[in-house]
Amino acid sequence: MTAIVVLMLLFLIVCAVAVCLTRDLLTSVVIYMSFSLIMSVVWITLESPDLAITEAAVGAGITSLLFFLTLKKIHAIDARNEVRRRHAQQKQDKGGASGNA
Amino acid sequence: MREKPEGLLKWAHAFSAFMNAGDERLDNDLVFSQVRDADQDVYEADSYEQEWAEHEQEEKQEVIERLERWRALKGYRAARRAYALLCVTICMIMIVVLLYTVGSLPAYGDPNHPINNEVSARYIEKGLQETGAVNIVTGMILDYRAFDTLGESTVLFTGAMVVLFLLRADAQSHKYSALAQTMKDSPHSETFYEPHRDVILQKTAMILVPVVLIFGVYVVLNGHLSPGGGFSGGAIMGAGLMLYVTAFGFASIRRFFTYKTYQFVVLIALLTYAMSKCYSFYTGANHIESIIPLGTPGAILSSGLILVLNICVGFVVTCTMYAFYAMFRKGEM
Amino acid sequence: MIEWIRFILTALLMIAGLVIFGISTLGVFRFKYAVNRMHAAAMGDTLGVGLCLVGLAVSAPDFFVAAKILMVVIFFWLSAPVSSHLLCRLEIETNERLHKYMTVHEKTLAQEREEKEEEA
Repeated sequence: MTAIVVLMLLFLIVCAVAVCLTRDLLTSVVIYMSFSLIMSVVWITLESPDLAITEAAVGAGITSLLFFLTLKKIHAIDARNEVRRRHAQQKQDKGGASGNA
Repeated sequence: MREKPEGLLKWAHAFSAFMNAGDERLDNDLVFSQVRDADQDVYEADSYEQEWAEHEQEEKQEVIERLERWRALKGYRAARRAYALLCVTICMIMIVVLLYTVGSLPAYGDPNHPINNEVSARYIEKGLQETGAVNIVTGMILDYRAFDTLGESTVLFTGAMVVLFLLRADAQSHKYSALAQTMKDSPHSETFYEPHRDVILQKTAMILVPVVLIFGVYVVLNGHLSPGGGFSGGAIMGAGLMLYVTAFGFASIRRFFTYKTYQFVVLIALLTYAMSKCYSFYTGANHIESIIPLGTPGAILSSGLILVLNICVGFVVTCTMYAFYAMFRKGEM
Repeated sequence: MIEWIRFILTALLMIAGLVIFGISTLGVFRFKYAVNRMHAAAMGDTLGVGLCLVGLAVSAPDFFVAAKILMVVIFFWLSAPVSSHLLCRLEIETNERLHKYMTVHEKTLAQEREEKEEEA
């Protein structure tokens, strides 16, 4: 039992660091979601089911839903963004190559 | 060429590279490589985005003009100075008050401090007897510390209000109606790719929405008996409403849940909460016996005011969760 | 004796569920295309969760706990396929290079919908 709790706590630390270090906003929201889910299991092992229910419903469910909607609102989830970014990168690469030459 | 990071930073970079490994794989992914080499001209000649940029420019110009006009007014400098002075004064007063309060608090983790022995012991020993709630957590947050929970509900309500101010697209306003219409009509409108009139989703929602709502009501009403309570139950019911909206659209939820309903329900719930708390403050401060019976512990109609407070919090949280979702997704309810 | 049978049954069901979870996780990471990934994820959400929870229901102390667990299974079987159906539908409606991956009929869903709207 203790081993599982230690494993979950380590997972929490890894998640918390990973949220900061991922470049993609969508990925960090998904990692935050898994953080909340594991956190609710940790709350159950700490014998506070009230908090576990709230954490699962609010932290993993509604907060990440609102994050997704916000990302959509600011057009962070948009295939066109990816296309634009790649175009810009291509242009930059070409420009850099000609500059060097 | 980027410099190579040293020490701990190197590990962070390696971890970051590991976490972003998916990006590199996406490079080879068929999906993006094909979207990339097509469709460039389609996206570049996007008239809707140009329109949007022009509109933004106009708005900016208008704001700048208004600021200039305001700055030319006579008492502008004096008013600004008074405002700055007032801000600084209020901040200083707050800092002094808070520091004074912190200074008179007992030391953190002091074993003789009542919170670390007497208070928790009393909650555990006499909680059931005094509040009538089998679930000791609910007894604490809705009876001993109900004032905090009122604050939490108000914070949620204020948050929803701020989101309303910021994100509500007012169809009545002449300034925004043209833009709102353009957004609704444009092929890139926000709701274009969302499922509408999906038969499978609708049939499943017809089964699931009542079940989810009833489960939420169960969690709210059993808050004083089992884990759960107003907040979690309200979140579950809010999720049920979101599912309903996703399946059937905003037009059909407006038949029973509009902005007016939201205001009415939330205000009534907060007022009921505040009134019942006023009553228990009044009786508690004057050492009067409360006329509300505590009932037998374990029965559904027990624990006095806790049931009422749970229902109020449940209503506030349900409406607020749905309001957040509607505002973020569509800008109106 | 009956305890042993229950224990063995629970263990077998749980192990089968966990194996399926592992396979579905592997599939989500290994597949490249959205619809394949969705298939793998949905398999974990229905079959994996179903087997694990049925295993728990077999070892439940009384009937009501088992009934609650079975309700959770029914909830998952209703919600997970529908969510993957929505994902698949989104992919089919938005991906313009769909014929590279699968056989596409002449009329796409979006066109059908537009026709229906015109009729209405």
